[in-house]
Amino acid sequence: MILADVIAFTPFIDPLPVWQPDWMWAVLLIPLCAAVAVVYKSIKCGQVSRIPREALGLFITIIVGMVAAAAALAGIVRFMR
Amino acid sequence: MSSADRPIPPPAPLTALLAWLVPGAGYWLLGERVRAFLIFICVISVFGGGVLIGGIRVIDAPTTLAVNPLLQKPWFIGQVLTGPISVVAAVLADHVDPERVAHSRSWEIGTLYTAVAGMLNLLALIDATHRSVIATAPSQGGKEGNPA
Repeated sequence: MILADVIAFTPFIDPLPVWQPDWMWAVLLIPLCAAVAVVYKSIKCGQVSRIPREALGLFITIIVGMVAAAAALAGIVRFMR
Repeated sequence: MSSADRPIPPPAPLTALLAWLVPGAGYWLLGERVRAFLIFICVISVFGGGVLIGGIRVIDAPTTLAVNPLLQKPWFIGQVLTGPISVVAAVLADHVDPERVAHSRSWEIGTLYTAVAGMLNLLALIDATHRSVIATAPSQGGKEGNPA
């Protein structure tokens, strides 16, 4: 079934068949966070040489914040049950 | 880059238009080549990534530009900020078999990527236009960095 999906897949036309591990969609948020961090720091930094370091810091902050928010929400859901 | 090497700043409306047409082009006009390159690579990669994840039909344009059809597909407002590439993608998406549309998380992540690409380009557009306004102002010409 998976092999058939991969063979039938046409890039940019068909949706990407990557949803077998249920957590895969969350992994796809990582490149999005990286792009947001780079673009934001490209706009905010006065000196271009500071962009990589500050973008890395923002990227780590976003990821840690999202994981913390997910953990807190999971804890609340478990507590409410 | 010294002030002598810096190109003559373009008018702000031209900067805004070019920044929408090609992500990062506003900075390019202002002589900020590295910044322009970073914006271009990131915005195009995120937009292309969204189309790759969800298929081209995640670019779901309303049938008319009236308010109600547009409000029924609000993500397109974000997507179209990426530039003409989103309009071309919307036209191409109309010619793709409707059976090949993404569902659930494929649709959500693809739509999120493409709309975020447009909103990142909007940030870059606003900043490049603001820098252009400051650079052309007689009293503050050539100010470096983000004034905000």
